[in-house]
Amino acid sequence: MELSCLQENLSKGLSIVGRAVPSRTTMPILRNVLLATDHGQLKLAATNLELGIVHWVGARVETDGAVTIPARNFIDLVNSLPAEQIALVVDEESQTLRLTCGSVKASFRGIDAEEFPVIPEPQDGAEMAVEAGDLRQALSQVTFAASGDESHKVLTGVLAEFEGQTLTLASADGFRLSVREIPLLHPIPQPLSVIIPARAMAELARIIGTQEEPVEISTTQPHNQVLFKLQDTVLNTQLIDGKYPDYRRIIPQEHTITVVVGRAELLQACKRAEIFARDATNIVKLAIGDGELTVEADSAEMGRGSTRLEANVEGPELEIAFNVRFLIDVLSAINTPQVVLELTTPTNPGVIKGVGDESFLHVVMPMHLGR
Amino acid sequence: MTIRLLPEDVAARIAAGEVVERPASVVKELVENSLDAGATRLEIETRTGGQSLIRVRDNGQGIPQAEVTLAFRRHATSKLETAQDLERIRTLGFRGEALASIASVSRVTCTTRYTEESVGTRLRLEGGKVVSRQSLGWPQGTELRIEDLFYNVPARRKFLRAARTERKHIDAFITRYAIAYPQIAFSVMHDGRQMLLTAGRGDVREALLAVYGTDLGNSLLEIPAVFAEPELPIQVRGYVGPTTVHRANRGYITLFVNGRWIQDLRLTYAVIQAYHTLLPVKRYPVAFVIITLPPEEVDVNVHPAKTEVRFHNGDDVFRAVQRAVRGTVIAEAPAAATWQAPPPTAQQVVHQRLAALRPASPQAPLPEIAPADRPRPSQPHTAPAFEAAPPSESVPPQARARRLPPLRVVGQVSTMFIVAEGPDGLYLIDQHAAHERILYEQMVSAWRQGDIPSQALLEPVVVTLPADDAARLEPLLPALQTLGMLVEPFGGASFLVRSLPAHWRDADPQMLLADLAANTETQAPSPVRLELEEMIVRRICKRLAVKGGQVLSREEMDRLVRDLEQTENPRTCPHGRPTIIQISLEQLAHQFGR
Amino acid sequence: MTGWPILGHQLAVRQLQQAVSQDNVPHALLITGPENVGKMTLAHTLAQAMLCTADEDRPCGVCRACRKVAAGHHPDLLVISPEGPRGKLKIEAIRAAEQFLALTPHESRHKLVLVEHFEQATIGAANALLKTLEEPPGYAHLVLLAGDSESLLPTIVSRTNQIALRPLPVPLVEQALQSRRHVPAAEAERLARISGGRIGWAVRAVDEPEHLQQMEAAIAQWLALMSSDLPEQFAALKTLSRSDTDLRQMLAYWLIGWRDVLLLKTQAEAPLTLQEHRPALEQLAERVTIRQITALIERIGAAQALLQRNVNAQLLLETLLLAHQQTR
Repeated sequence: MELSCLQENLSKGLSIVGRAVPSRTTMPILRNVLLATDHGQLKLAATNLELGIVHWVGARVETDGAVTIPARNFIDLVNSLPAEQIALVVDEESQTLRLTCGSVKASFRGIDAEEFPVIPEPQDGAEMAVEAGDLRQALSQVTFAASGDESHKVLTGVLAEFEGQTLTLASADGFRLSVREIPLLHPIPQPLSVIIPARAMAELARIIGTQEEPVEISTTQPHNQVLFKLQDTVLNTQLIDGKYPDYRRIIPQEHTITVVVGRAELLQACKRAEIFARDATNIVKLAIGDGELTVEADSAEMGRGSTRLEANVEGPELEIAFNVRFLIDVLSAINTPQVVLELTTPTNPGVIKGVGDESFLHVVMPMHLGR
Repeated sequence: MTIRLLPEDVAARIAAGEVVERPASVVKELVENSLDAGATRLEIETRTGGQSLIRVRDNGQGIPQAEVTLAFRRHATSKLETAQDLERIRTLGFRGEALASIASVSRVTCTTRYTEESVGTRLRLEGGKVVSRQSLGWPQGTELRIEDLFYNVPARRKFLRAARTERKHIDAFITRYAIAYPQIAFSVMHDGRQMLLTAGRGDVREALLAVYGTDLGNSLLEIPAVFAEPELPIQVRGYVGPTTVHRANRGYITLFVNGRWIQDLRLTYAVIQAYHTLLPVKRYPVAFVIITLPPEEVDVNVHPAKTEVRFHNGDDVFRAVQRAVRGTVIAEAPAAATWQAPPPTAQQVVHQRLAALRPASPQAPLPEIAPADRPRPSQPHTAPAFEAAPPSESVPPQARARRLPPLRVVGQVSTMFIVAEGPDGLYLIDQHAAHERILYEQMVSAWRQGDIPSQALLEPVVVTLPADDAARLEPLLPALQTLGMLVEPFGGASFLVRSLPAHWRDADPQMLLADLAANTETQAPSPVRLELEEMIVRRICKRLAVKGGQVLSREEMDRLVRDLEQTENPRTCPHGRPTIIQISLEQLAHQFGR
Repeated sequence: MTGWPILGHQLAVRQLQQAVSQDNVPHALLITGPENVGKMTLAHTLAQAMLCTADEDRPCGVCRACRKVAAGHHPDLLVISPEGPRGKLKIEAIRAAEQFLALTPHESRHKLVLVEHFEQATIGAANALLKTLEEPPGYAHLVLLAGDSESLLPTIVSRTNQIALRPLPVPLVEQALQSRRHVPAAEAERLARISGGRIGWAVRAVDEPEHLQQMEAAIAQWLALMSSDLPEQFAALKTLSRSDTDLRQMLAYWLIGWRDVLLLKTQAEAPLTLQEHRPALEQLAERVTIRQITALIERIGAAQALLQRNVNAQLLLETLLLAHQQTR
């Protein structure tokens, strides 16, 4: 293998795939990054066996080849190089990569690329596609609600349901549920439902960044992996095997109280209340009265604080308590100027939506003060 | 022994004051009466902390038919005849007003049969007035049912604390008597739940185990008879903790004098003094000291609640206690209980010898036994009667000084210990024990304040346990609810978990319940030293705390240490093991021979 | 269908080959058999066959997947084992396996977890595994390896398909040592006999001379123990039970010794395994009766089984020695 590329491109590419390099692993090869020539480009790849990232860098390829190199050292070196041409040459016999950049020369002992896990690549003619902006926003509205509890693996994932013209993403952690629908750019004939690790989805959101081109989504046979194809990057993720709970049953069908309030104001009030709710429980009280909503936190140790907001209230008065972190999470993820809270009693779940946005819905369970 | 009216002069010499303060004082009076009556088996039952019912039944000699009514008259007692008798008090409840006082503020049913009569009597009183009396067959002994305590004194009823608190006071009292009277079988039920059961086989160790639990109970050292003072008519018996066992307050020091539980500042201090230099600073020993001396040597009539006494030769008693305890502890103290200085080097030995040749320091060394007649202002004795209950983890003011200084985390050692630096040296922190302490205090303090927030689950979780575990879990459900965990039976061995305590939001319900159910078994049969809730909290905190072997990030360590600084008792885990070892700069300097 | 590179165990191999080719390998397999009899080799070959990408004659041994399995880094294969020879298989290891199986396969259609020394699993670990055994994902295959099934939770055994491996015929081991390892005939005969048909032991004895030395040391120790008095014996046992000696292996060597004593006693024609210790063995033979020897052999066998169940090693050895003592 022999090629040259620009330092900026290589550095950027490595920073993208580097996020898939596991910090701890029982398989030493995973600490390496794969470098391979591919149709006149340099392909970089890394995987932690849950999520893999492939990124293509423009390069002038002299001879084809592949090698894997310890990722951390290689990335650190490339980042330290001047913004010039980098020449990479691999000695196939010794699996050694030699790098030249200006006056800098370095060599790395690599491991045979054959030993690297096979990283799937998307087939041409992707089955599904969505707007990048939609997906980016949907991910920000859904991934935060996934559980971190590894003993209930399915809940650590995001449920992705492809059906007809719609992709529905849902996640829940036992106390709250986020559901977001986004349109598919072309309808699909066969519905498909998979559970994708939330960690991979968070990584995907990061990689999408400001890209505006549609994201193509495909699966490998037999639905072991999902691939998200971006401009120069493909993210693949293993799926979580299991049956996702029927989240539709959890969404309340009725409510007696509707509160419409400014999103930013409510978010601000919650953040203020959090100062007083910073013990282990994060409990805040929402008092809903005539034309107003009061957010109140009361801590034995720190004192109390409350904010009264004007609100459009329909229905009887109510006091209900929530984990303020949960409220802040969802309010930060909504982007309409006003939000609507749909409530019933202090023990019934609350529903939060953006006013005028039917695509997103969040269910959050209340807290109770015992005795 | 029969019941008589006290002559007026005797009654007058009795310290005035209300006998019945709270349910625990009723229990105390009744139990002491039973002990006086020669009972060998005592059943105590309460409902709602004694407010709705206190029942004490014994197999003692009973009350003769002719005297039952008399027993409820003021200043009647079967124990005292004349003022001279007061001088030789060997029985416990020496004042006549006990039953009368109790009867005046409750509904009492007294059922009794005197040992030498064949027919028993049942007497009912309301507000001190006899409302009915009947003869009936009854086994030898007396049963007193005290119902609706303070029903006619609403003002007093208002001052009663939560049932839980009252139960705690009752337990604190009975557990001590169970140890002091191992030959008597005690059975305590609260709201239908067996809280204490001793066999009454005369085996003190058995009683200690039942009361203190296996670990602590087994670790206690018996004060050997050789420490009795031959020249003094004072006998000191009992059990004391080894130097490795210590507590944050003095509530674990119990004193009995002539069979009566007493509070005595000086004798408590004698016990503490016996551990001088053997315990970490501001830590207090566990001790159960039983003192026997001639009745004329002690004046019990100081305080109406009768937990204070006055000794005629206080210094002798002080010395006897201090010597007996110290002797026991020293004999058993393991060599390396605390940080040990290394053997001196040859050079240091020379230095020491040279130093010894210098003229004595002008400052005389402190006498080993501090003069005890002056009260020590720095160590106020705050515990009034019944307040120094061992189960209490509540922290008296002086314990706050035990809080940690601000620490700076240096690193983690073998994924088990955190190394930190403070203004006064090096701190080694056991990450698991420390986290246990943090979780425990967060939860217990919330629980004490009465508001454990609970977080409802999106969907109830069904937990199925093995059948016998399920049976053990079921009685815990009400306690779990007060802890913010709503669990309902769901048929068979299944349970439906609807909400979790907000503090433990991230716990796995299946794991929590399985743990609780499984553990109950090993703790049976006498969880009396702890409230059920507190025990649950302990167990769960143990389970949830970060384990040894877990790699902690710098942030996690900082957080842990900061949280530990905030706790009231940062130096032990809820099970009493140390969380933190401090090595002072002096010790380090000494080690390096500087 | 060509054979798997496995010596003996024909029935088991044929059964598994068939399952692989028909793609109906059970989700949970339990392979039992004495130490070094070939359990891991069989499990490993099964894994290779299931992950191999060749169209037929799996495992082909040359495809990328086969090479990765051989090198120990196939992303769809996880091997978990207890820590150390007497260590426990902990719940953390089982959790790691659960995590591993929760995600879909990476390169193949299957994912395999091989659990070595499952008899050393803690109760917690065994119960955790039970959960996985109840509803394994379609691609998941668990292969448990254990000495025998009796020391395992019945609930686990009942959820697995069991394959029991027995020691190979001694001549087969001898032959294999000669033909595959080029061991001289006499030595091959001796090692095969000592191995008692446990091919893994014989191969290790050839590959690692210290393995053989360990046996020599164990035999020497045994002979010394047999001629010392009770306090000495107990002292020696205390040291033994606290060292990290593999006690099961040690007892196996003791068995070899008693077998020779029995041969001497019965004046059988068969050559002694420990020919070099003949004088000491003859002395020992004079002190014991045949009935005593057979009783001891039974007791040692029972002790081996108990050791797998994590009994107190020192107590176990002491009782065993007291039984020995009665032979004096």
